[in-house]
Amino acid sequence: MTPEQRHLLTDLITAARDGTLDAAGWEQLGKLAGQDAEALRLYALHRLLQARLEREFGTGVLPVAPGAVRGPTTSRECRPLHWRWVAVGLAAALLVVLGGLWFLGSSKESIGHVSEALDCRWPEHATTRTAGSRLASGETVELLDGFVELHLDNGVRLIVQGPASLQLESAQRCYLAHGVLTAQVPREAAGWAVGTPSAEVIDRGTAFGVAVTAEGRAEVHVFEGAVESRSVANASGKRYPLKSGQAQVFGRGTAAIDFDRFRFVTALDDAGQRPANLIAGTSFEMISPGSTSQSATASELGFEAVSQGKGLPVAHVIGGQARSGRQAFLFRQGKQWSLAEHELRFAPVDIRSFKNVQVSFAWRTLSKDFDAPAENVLWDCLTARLSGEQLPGGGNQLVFHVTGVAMRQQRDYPVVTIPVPDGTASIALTLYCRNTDVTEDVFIDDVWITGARR
Amino acid sequence: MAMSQDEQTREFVQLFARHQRRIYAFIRAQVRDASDADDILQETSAVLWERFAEFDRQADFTRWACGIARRKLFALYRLKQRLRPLWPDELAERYADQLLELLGEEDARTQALGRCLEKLEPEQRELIRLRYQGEADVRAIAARLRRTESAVYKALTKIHDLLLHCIERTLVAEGTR
Repeated sequence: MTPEQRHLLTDLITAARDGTLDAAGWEQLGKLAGQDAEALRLYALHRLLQARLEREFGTGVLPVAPGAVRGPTTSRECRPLHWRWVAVGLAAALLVVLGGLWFLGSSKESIGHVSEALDCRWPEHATTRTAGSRLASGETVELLDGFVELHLDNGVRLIVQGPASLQLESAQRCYLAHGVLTAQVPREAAGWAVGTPSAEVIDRGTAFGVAVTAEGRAEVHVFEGAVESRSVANASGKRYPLKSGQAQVFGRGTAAIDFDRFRFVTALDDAGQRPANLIAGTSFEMISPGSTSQSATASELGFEAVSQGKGLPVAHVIGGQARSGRQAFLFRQGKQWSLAEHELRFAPVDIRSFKNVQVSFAWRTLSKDFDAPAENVLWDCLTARLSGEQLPGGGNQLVFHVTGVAMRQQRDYPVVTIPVPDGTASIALTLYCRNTDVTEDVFIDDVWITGARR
Repeated sequence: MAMSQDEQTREFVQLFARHQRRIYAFIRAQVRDASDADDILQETSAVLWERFAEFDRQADFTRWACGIARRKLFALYRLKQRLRPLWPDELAERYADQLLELLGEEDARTQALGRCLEKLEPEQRELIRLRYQGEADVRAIAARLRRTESAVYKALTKIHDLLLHCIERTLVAEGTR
């Protein structure tokens, strides 16, 4: 390589890393890398360094993956490298870390108890808890799988969904290292706070959910009332007030995201509302118009895995979104799939061991027309067809069509529910649009199937 | 010998936790945005679990997982214009091979990075922190530090080079390579 080429290569690599390289630049970089193995290697080294630096400094990064995993991990991998860098200048995060240590050392007063433990698996080193167990400040609830409901003496009710690690720093604050948490906070306890590796959430009298991935990315979804949230990384401490129906993600940077009620369990076994009743469900990925999204199969969406009974342990990997045993399956995060040109077809789901089965989906449109809604707008385009296979000796094939669901506001989120007759062995759902002229803005956000175990 | 579902789950979770850094780096180095890399890692992890039964326990998990991540990536390239590299397939494949080869020493490089960061001047360290914490771009950093964009750009390019050379030197000195 000539010095000029080397210089050019450096610039090209920098731009590629920053995401600012244009098509011509990529062609140049490709030419250099294609001719010279050393150039290709240098580019690879730079991109891997970038990945490492992002991990090192990224707000959303935890040194170890799920806290529950204490396998033969080498000390090298566990080394909490980035804490040192946090100390370099990140006042806000430092406060959180110190705060955590502070509470660890404080005296252990009893602050509440476990009111329910459902299908729990506990890590070997962790305390096993059952309904009635007292909880002391400073204790950490570590859960590999299942659900545990906590009642704090100040009236706060929490449901922790494993895998999770939640430290009860005090009656006023807890720290969710990873996992999913639903909180119901009475007015008297307003100000109650949840810390996470990337966000701090302060309650303003409400019900909300917090989900923290193994990588430390935190999502805050508000069901009722309001919370105040802020990024741990942002020293300026900009606050994001969130109201009912709003959600925010914190990780590398922060952004408003779609509210997704299905990620959170809000009640255990109250009035039969045990999370047990979700058989399958998914939310979709946006495919840009004109792309070949037909080739994205149901198996890519996770449905097939469920129908084969294999969906379960995915939960342990992707952060507790898929549930086990008699529980729920909710794959992927709240993204959408445009129905403009295609139909959405799902692999059949075996429901023989369930009764009272219902198929539901939530949909919406982003059409501008709905900013100034006319009376009685009927968005008569979406069609759902549910076909089912009957048990041997059963009657007709099931076919449902659902059309013409009214939607009056842009943020409306109508849910369509289709009951499935008993005696059905398996069901498959197809969604499509009848009128492609008006449907480019229709999105299906989630599909889920519920039922009770026989 | 057949393993129980629980044992298999535990084994998988352990392997995945131990190797996820490398798998992530492999994906991250091939896409523009970190958020895409996160998503693809998630999708890959689901496939890894589904196919865990096929994994030869004597083999290297990173290699196996990256093989699957690679197919996932190339499938996505066909599906999503945005993700597609502007390189011919043959070069994109060679690049992935190169990444895999380097990932064999990823642990050593990660460890070296920690020491190399310590060797930076405090201002350099601050600059790199600003760049990667919250993914600030050069313009935002320049505004914040009241420096010109080109000065920040140059400084960042230099720091990356310093780090890269420091890491490679460390590996040679340690005899890892």
